[in-house]
Amino acid sequence: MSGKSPALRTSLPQRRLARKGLLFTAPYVVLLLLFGITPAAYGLYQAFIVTKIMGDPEFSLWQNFADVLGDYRLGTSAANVALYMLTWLPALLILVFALALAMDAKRSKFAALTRFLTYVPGAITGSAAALLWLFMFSPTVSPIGPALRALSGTDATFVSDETMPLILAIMGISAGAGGWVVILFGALTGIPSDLIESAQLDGATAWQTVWHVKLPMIRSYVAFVLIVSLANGFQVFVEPTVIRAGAPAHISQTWSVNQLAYVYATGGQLNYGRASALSILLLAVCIGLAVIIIKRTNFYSLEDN
Amino acid sequence: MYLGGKLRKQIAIGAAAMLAATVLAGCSGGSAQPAASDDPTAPLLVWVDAERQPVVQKFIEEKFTSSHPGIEVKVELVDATQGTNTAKIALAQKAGEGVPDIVFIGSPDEIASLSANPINYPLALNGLVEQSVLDDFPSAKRCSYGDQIYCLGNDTGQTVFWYNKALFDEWGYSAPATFSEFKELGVKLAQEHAGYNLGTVNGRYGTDAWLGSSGCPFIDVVDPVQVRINLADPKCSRVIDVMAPLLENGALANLDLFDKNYTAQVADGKVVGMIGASWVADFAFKPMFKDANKEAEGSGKYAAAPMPTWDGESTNWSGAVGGGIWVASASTKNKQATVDFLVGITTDIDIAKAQATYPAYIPGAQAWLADKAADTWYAENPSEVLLDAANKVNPADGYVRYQTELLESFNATVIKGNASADSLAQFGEQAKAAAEATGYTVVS
Repeated sequence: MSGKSPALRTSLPQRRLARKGLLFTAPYVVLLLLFGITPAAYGLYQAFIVTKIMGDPEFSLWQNFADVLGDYRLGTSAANVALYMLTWLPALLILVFALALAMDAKRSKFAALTRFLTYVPGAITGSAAALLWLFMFSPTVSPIGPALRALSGTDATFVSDETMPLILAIMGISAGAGGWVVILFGALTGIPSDLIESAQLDGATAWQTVWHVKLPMIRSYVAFVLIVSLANGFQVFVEPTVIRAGAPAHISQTWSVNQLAYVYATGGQLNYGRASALSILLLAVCIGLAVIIIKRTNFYSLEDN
Repeated sequence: MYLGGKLRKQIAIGAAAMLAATVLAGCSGGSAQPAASDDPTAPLLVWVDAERQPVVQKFIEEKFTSSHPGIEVKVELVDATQGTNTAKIALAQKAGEGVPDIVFIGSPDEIASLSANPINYPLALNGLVEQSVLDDFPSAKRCSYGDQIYCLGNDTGQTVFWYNKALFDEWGYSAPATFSEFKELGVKLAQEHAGYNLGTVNGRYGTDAWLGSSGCPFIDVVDPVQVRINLADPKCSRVIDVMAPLLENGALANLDLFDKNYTAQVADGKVVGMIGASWVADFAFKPMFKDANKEAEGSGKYAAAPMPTWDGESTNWSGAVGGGIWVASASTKNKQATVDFLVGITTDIDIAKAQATYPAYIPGAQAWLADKAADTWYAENPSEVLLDAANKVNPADGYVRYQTELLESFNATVIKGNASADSLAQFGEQAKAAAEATGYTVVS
């Protein structure tokens, strides 16, 4: 930072560099202010405005938060999201690491093909993927229809509040795993080969190399995967919303916490205050978890070295 | 990143200014807008759904423009999904522009949200629309608070018993006159013709058609902030007494009427009857046969029978499922033209005659029924039954801000769970929670 060295202030080339840097970041800063910071600040402000059905709005530091936390739907939505995360995240992490490590261990043409094939489903965006999977889980039109029919015993769609965690996990893995595989594979190839060689010379088995050398070396990538996945997972919205539109009366409109926030803002109540309060609570959870992960994995330690 | 001290200061000041502006904007946007000064030449903005757009366009070109020369009318297409109109109006109000003068609402419950904070959208029609016209919209009573009426109906979803008369005759069945007979019929159907059903009770069919016709106080609206909910009332338990065993034996279906798996059953002729809205035959049965290329198979079979009577009642009350409404804006800049447009579009006999659903306007309904009488798709003329039912919609229930939540709770407890007195009580608890979450005080 600038405070560290007063000499920087007077150094002409440095100042020029800073101006160039600013020039590069200016468009981003403007957009961030307009579409990131300003709406967020407005949302924060709204969280303290209590809309009453009759009479003028009131200012309260806690009312909206108390209303949201006391909402009868929040427990169910939170449990749904938790179950989804518990299904999806471990499966995603195990699959992604297994694939990346396998590709790293055997760098063949087959690995390149696998990398490509796992990446392709990610090209289908969230809403389109949701529609695709909606068909997959409707026995009458699904290519795996007979299997679904054997499981549920009826022609009725497999989609329900209870099966959503599983469906979303399958969707999330098929769409997201490929991208992470590519990133982690890249990180693994970045580990100096002499390090791996010396470990092997010291008698480390393949498993020990993975556990004690490779994984610690890509620790911050693991943290990155976790933080992004947790944030995405907690905010799950598009997939249940689209699936619900295609399967009327099978899924709750407040299946996930983020959907509940949306219903506050757009449903029968038009309560922006509660919507903002719940969004802020959701943000607090995500930031809290991110901080824990960053601390536990020494996320920024590489830059310190 | 290194920034020059001056630059950093500038950015900080800029950001602070933006925040301040936002906060100020928020303050001014929170309160209701004052009525604008009236301008008899101001253009009108009308929001409609896709189904009504061509009709409205035609009405403007052929009728409204000649009676109101110089007044420009802009028609915007809005998705008819429940809640969309309300959310969009709220946003337009916040933006301070683009608030429609007239809007078509397909899910009439939205009027409960539109009439409350922070929107306060609808224009009270008493005094602006002639009383004789208001009297011809009996269903508008449902969107009145106090002495004021806030909407004119587009169509009415009064329920009747739709049934496959040809099949009933063949099997020696007759349309049930009471719900006890309905229950017996359901038991017999499951025994003699398994795989056939007497309609679905999912969502609004179970609530609005069944609980509604029985007069069960589950959305008995007292005023915009008070609702009476009491699922322990005998008028509710008598519904579950009929519904539960028939859900159990399959004589009643638990799927949404438009679920692909259910429309397939309709097209297969498996749905031999249904307590359904006036539009069910035309809108949910007829097209399904067409889609499945079985048009001839559906034709000449279906008929309407009067609603069965609930035990202990002397009138065979009807329920009401859906029924679109037209609402005008209280903040319109051209009040006279807005009211003229609203009355014009809802009382136009040609439009009423051509629409798929039963017109809410009585003279419109009479013209519509005359057309229906000549429709050979029906096994017999349904006019008399529909007309009778339109006058017998049980007045117990109203429109609420938590309708979606209510339907979800009903499906989760009574339909997907084990239909019983317990599940009905559970539904009552959830309905109470949903009402309180949307700002109602619940009385029982």
